[in-house]
Amino acid sequence: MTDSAAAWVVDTSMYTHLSRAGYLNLLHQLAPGGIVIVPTEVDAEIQNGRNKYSGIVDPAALPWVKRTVLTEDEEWTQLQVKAALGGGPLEHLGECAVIACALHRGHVALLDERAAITQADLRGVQARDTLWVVIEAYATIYGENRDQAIAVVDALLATNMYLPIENGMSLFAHAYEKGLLPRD
Amino acid sequence: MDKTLLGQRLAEARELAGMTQDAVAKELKLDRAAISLLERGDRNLRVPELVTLAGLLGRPLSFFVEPPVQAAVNRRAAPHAEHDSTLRLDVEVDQFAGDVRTMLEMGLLASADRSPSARTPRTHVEAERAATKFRREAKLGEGPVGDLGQVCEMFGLYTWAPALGRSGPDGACVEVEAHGRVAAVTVINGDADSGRRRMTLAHELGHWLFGDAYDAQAGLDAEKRIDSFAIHFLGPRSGVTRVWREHSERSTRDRALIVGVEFRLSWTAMIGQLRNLDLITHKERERLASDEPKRGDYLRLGLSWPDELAAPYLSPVYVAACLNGYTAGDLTAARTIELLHGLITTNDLPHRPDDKLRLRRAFEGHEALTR
Repeated sequence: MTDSAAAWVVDTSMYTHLSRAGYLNLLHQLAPGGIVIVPTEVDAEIQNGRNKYSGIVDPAALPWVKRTVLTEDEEWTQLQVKAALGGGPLEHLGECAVIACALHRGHVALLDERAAITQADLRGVQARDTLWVVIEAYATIYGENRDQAIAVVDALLATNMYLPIENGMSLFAHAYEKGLLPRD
Repeated sequence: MDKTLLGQRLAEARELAGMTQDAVAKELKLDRAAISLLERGDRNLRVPELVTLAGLLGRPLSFFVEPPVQAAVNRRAAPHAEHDSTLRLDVEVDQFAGDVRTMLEMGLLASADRSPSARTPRTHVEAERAATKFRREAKLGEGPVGDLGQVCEMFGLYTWAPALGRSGPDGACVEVEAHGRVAAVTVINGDADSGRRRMTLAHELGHWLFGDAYDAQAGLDAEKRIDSFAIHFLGPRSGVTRVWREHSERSTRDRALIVGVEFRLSWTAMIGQLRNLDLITHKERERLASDEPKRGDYLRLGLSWPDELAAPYLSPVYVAACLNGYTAGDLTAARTIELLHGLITTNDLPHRPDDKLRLRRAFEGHEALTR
């Protein structure tokens, strides 16, 4: 846990896939203060997900998940991010709420959609995605034990989460190939 | 942007969509009073409701919620004495200026490198000199400008040509600035005749190159000199004279038709330029002006030209930048199609390669890994 860091606001995709993969607790273990924030828009999307898939934990049942309502200023930012992302009336609302909340409250946005991350970057909001959380777990909780990180990635892929790798093993293969991790 | 401006834009978009407040209210299952309050800036709507309303009015959400481009605000505030305009043109300029600003902010379009010393010519001689200089910069030689939209992009001017009606306004141009990057946008009437569209675009290019896009103070004289720049840019003295002389065996009228098609100029612009260059007399110009050619006159000579800048048209570099933003993952499919004004559909979108940047980011910023 890095208590000095900014709080984490999590989007639907990361929450539901980690939950379905059985690794939701990583967020609790890694987030500053052990708390993650879920805007009501994300909560609504999670509830929709719970109607489709088993294994998604209700945020209301977790004492370390804080649900929050956007302020008027945050809603306006949410609207502008929504304009930048386009799509139907309900599309991207969670991501837009996460970025708006993170921007106004100085939090870190946990997002996976690349276009949403671009919007976070443009607004100076620090954004992290699910693979980053896995690598953070590898570096801290798992004591750089690759097998445990590989198991998380494979479990996420088994939930049909889109990740830019084919399997857990290839995560480290790509990392060494690209010089992202030092070789043993 | 405040709720008042949002309300104004909703009212304008509703007017352009030809809908009453009652009709909008009915579609959204709201009271008419709610729409009225919304347009006055006295009511909030939830995000999904606003998205639905934007879709109903045929405009992207960004048009309603993004702050306006300052130059577009100035343009609207200025009297249109020398610049015929309509609400439709104003709205198209606002929207396209916002689109280009988005692309500049995202670094998907490069900043224009415009000469800060260029000024509106004070004489027709200066206008011709400026046209020659900018043609040289664009490496156009003495020949016709093949793809004017593309040439304008080289100078940082991006074009959107929607259908504004046969008798609609010709066009407008404004400067856009974002994060220290600058460009210009022009909206021209894609329903006008081809030659007129090219003259309008060359004219708007002049406004941009001379640093007065959009200059509310530009008077009729300045407009005439920019017209002069435009005709010399499209039909340069050396090139027009050469083609004119190459067809000396033909009648004056046929020669004018041939040169006009070669340089893709309207009949009026062509005979005007022939007179400017002293290739025809005043009398010949008057005679030709009263004898406007029909389609068959061109076909008889085996002449045709591409229907350039016809509605809907967007600058090719702008289109490519939008699609590159999509393939890089910076733009969603829906937003890409909005930015391309519906020119392509979801099915036309290019293949998206794997996001390797995402993999790199996953390994950045881990304190435990850098210890």
